[in-house]
Amino acid sequence: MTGKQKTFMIRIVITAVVLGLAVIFIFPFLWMISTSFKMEMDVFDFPIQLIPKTWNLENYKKVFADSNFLLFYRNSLFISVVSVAGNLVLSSTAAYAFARLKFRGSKGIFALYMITLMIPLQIVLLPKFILFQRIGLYDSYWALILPAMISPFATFFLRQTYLSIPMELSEAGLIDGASQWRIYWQLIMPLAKGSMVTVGILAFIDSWNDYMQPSILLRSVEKFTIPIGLEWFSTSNSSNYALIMAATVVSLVPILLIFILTQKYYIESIAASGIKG
Amino acid sequence: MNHQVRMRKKNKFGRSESRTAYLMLLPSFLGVVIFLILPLLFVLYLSFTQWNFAKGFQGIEFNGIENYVRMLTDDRVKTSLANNLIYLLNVPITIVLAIFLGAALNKYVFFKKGVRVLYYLPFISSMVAVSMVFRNLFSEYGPVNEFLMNVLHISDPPKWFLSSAWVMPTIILIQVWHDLGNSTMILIAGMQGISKDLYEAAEVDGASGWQRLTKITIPLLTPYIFFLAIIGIMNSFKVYDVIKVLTNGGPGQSSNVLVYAVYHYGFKMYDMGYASAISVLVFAIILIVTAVQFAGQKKWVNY
Repeated sequence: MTGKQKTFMIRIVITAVVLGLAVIFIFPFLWMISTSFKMEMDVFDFPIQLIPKTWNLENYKKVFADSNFLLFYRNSLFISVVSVAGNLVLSSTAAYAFARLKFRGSKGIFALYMITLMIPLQIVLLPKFILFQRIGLYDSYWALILPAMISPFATFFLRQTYLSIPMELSEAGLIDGASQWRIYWQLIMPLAKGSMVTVGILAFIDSWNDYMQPSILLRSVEKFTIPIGLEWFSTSNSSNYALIMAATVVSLVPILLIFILTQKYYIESIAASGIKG
Repeated sequence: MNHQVRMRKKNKFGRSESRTAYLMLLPSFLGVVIFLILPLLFVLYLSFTQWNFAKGFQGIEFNGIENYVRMLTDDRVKTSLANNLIYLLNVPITIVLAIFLGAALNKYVFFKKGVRVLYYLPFISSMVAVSMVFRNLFSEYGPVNEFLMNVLHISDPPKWFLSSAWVMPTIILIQVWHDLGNSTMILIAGMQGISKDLYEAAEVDGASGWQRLTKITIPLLTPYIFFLAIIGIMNSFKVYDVIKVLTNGGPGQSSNVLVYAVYHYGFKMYDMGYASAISVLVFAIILIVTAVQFAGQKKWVNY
C-alpha cells in the first residue's frame, strides 16, 4: 500500500468510527422521535424498536388539540422576535457610539459595560422579580422582553465589527454633509450585516430556550413560553411518555429549523466570539 | 482666517458628534443601569438584611452579616456548594472528548459538515426538552435500564435520578452530552489556525499521529482549552434548569446546587435576604474565576 492509500484507509476507518459514535450520540433524539409516534403501551418494549410497530399520530393531534401549544408558540415567537429586534437596535447604536464617535466618558462607560458582562442572569433575577412586582410588569411579556433588549455582549461584539470598518468611510460621509445618524444607518450598519445576523440568531436561541426567567416572571398558563409550557404539559400528563415526547418534538422543531437554515452564521460566530454561555 | 473657520467647524462637528453619541447610547445605558447594575447593588444590599417579601418594603430589616454566618451552618448551602464542585467534573470530561472528536473531525472525517451538525444539535436544544428525553431514557424501566438488564444481565440497575448516589453523575452526563458539540466546534476553530507546516515537518521527522496530537495540537490549543475551561467552570456554578426540571434538588438534598438554593429560599420561602446572600456567594465565585481568567491569560496561555 502506498502512503496515500494508507491515509485514505485511515480516513475511512475514522469516519466510520465517528459516524458510529454520532448515531449513539444522537440516540436520545432518535428515541424521542420514534417514541412520539408510538402507542403508549409500546414505549418501553424491548428490544428497542426505533421504527414503531404501529404509527400513531394521535399524540401530535393531542398536543395541538388538548393543550395550549399553539399559544405557547405564539408567546415564544412574540417575546423572542421583539427581544431580538430591540436588542439589535439598542446594542448596535450603543456599539456605534463606542466604536466610531468621540464623546466624554466613552472609555469609562465602555469599561462599565465590560464589567456588567460578568453579572450572571441567575443573580439579578431576584431583584428583577421584585422590580417587576413593584411596577406591575410581573406576569407580563415585557418582564422578559425589556431586560432581553439589553446585551453588553452584543454591544461588545458589534463594536468590534464597527471598529474594523475604515474611519475614512465616515469622513467621506461627513464631507458630503451626511449626519452621523445617516452615516450609521446607510453606510456603516449595512456593512455589519453579517455580525447583526449572528448576534440576532444567538439572542433568538437564548430567548427561545430560556427557562429560568419565564418560570419565575410568568404565572398565567396562557402567557407561557415553549420551555415552561413544555414543563407544565409534562407535569399534567406525567405518565404519558409518548405524548410528552411528541410535545418535546413540537417544542424543538422551530429552533432546529432555524439552526439548520442559519448554521453558516452560527458556526462562524463560534469561532469569532466564543463568549456565549 | 481660513484656519479659524475650519477650527470652528471642527468644534461644531465635535459637539454635535458627542450629542449624537449620547443619544445613541442612552437607551442601552439606561437598560444596563436598570436591569444589571441596580439589581446587582440591590442584591448586595439585601444580602445584609432580613426580609420576608410578604411584608413589603417596610419589612426590610438590616441584620449585618447574619445571613453569611447562617450559610456556614446551613446544610442545604453546604450540600449545594459541594454538588457544584462535583458538577465541575463535566468540564474536563467535555474538553478531553472534544479534543479527540475535534482532531478526528478536523482532519480525518469525510462529510465533516454534516457530522458536525449532528454533534451540535444538543447544544441548541433547550435544557427542558433535553431533560424530558433523558428522564424517559433513564427511567426505571426505560431503554437504558432495559439494555443493562437484558443485554448486560445486570439484575439490579441504578435508579439514576431517583438514587442519591447516581443523580449527580447522570446530570453530569447530560451536561457533557449537551456541551460536547459546541466545545468541539470551538477547538476545531483553533485547530484551523495551526499552520500545516508544523504537521508536515513533524511527519518528515517521523512523528506518529499521537505525537502530533500531544506535541503540536494540544499545546497550540491551550488558549482555546483555557477558554473552554473558564466558561465551563462558570456555567457549572450557574447550573439550574436541568436540576429544577429533573430532580428539584432531590432525592433528599443530593442534587441541590447553589442557584437552586437561591430559588428555594427566594421564590419558595420568600426569604429574600438570605436568598440574596447566596446569590452574592455565587457572584463572588464567578468573580474569582474571572480573576483567574485574567491572570491565566497572561501566564499559562501559549499564544
